[in-house]
Amino acid sequence: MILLIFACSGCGNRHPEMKEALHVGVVTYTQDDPFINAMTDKLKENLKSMETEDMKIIVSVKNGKDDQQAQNETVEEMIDAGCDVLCINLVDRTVPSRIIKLAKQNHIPVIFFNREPVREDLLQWEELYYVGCDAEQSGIMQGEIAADYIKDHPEVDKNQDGKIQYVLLEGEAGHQDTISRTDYSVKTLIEEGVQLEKLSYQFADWNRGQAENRMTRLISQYEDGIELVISNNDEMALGAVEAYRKSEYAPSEWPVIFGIDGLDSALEAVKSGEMQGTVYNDKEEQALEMARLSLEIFRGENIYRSQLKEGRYYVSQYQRVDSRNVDDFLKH
Amino acid sequence: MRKNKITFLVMELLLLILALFFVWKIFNQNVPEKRVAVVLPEAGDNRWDALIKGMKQSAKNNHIHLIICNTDEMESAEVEQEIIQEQRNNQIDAFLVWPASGSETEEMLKNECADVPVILVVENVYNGDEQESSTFSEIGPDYYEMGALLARELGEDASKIGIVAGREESEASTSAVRGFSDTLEQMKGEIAWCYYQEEDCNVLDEIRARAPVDHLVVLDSRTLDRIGEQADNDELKDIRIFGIGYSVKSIAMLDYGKIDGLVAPDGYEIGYKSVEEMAKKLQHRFYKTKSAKTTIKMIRRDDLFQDEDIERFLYSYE
Repeated sequence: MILLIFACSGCGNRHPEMKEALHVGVVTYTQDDPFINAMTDKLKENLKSMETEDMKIIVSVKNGKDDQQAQNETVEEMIDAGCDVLCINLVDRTVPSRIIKLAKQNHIPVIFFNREPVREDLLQWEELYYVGCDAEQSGIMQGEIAADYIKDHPEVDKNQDGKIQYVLLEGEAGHQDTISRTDYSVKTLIEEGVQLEKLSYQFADWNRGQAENRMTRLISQYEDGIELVISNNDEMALGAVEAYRKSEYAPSEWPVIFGIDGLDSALEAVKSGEMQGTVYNDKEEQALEMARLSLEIFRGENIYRSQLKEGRYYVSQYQRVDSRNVDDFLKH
Repeated sequence: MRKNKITFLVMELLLLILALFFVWKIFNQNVPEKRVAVVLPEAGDNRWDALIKGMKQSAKNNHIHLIICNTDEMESAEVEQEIIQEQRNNQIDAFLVWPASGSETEEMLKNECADVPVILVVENVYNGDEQESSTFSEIGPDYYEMGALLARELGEDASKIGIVAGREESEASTSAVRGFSDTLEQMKGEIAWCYYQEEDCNVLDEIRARAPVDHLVVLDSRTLDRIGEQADNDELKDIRIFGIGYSVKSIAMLDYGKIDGLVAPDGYEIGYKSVEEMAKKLQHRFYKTKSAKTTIKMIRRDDLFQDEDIERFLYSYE
């Protein structure tokens, strides 16, 4: 009799059959990076389009507030609340160990994106993946576009001294992408036969506002002596554009400006002539790959994962953008 | 001999009490913290930063294990119900819930949370009837008063006024609109139109489609953020914008002059008090949770760095 009563009370708490639900937790390094925000929006859109009548997909997006410790705590909270797959854009690519440990303990696969962890860390567990681009390639392509432009437009060398006086706007000191993009961009320009003279380099944290401040100071220091601005990303390139817009110099007196990422606002600047080129970072393709991987992991399938490099890397190709093909990318 | 016996018994009694005390201490330390799930739409959005900060601090002080549910948009009671059902399988002892808009939410919460305590945060359930109060305790700002404050701020000179509110079937929107209209009736201002924002609708297109106004009153924080971003557009340049905001973005927009006045609730206080009240319920089974109205502040651009009270209030927004 007592057993019967206990059994009946258990029945009352059961819920009707629930739709299957995939919980994807996305944690970016900051909320202030337009490229990352655009990619995350695309990822969410892709995942939502993959919902079916029998399966719901819930995408929860949080950010690490530029602090790896805060990001670790956010990941821990997400796991505590229930998560099937994590998509992480690391604050500090050299210290993913806490996140990897938490994920492994709770059997939650992790797709790192855009900020690549060190290879040895990614090999700690078979359910760790990376989706992104090759920073070296973006630097090489930026150097190539800049070199082509300079060769076709001798007026870039304003003082006709045979050398291009340039400034660099760099992301973060010690960041692998900063180092790769800067090194390969400058190296490619030199290999293409462009004589360079470095005036200055400034770190601006990938940030438009900071880049504008740095550029304003450079303009007052070098006046019209700057002939080329090489920027590690479009946000900082647009900061340079903003600085020149507010300066006394007419657009015809501006240096040539090149960025990387292919943000919509940068593409518009290339079209209008305020920037001369950028390198398109295919966030749409990467977001789609992340969505496909998330779903495949949840379903236990192996179609896309078997095509990954070393079973864990998806690297999409950058594309050169200048005034001749910018309209193709604006339609994206 | 008899004296020795008594001494021995007293000593044994003392040792027994000491032993029982240590056994109780051991078991007391092993009692796990109560688990409280927090259900907010798009929980990672920065409009909840102050609220979650307050909740976390209170959870730390009151030994509560907080679980911030992983959510995206919560358009309906059905979506919220699924989240609550999932968490019921996660050993949850109580819920702090932002109620989804719509008249089905109250019934849903009564059914899903019949045997666990629930406190509503930020706003109450929508039941369409101004007179009938909900059965749930609620900790949040007084939206009627926020609407009234904005009307008083606009003053007697305000003429053509456009109102943009949140979802029509939400207690926050209907109370704020009522507070604004009731207060404005006593002044000479004229409401040209009132629009309730729906998901996936472009609010600027909706404003363009309506009669031109001199003042825009935005009674929904997310919509205010979106409008503020577009404030440099020609069509909004000559319009004075006021609203309800609880994100760092809305404070920044006020600072940059993109909006002219802001009523802000104290998110930190809502978060802190809601967890504190739930902790009392979880510690004392027969305790009846109480509703509470939290602080609201009218903030003008000039006040931002001059008024100490405002600075202290905004501290939790960082």
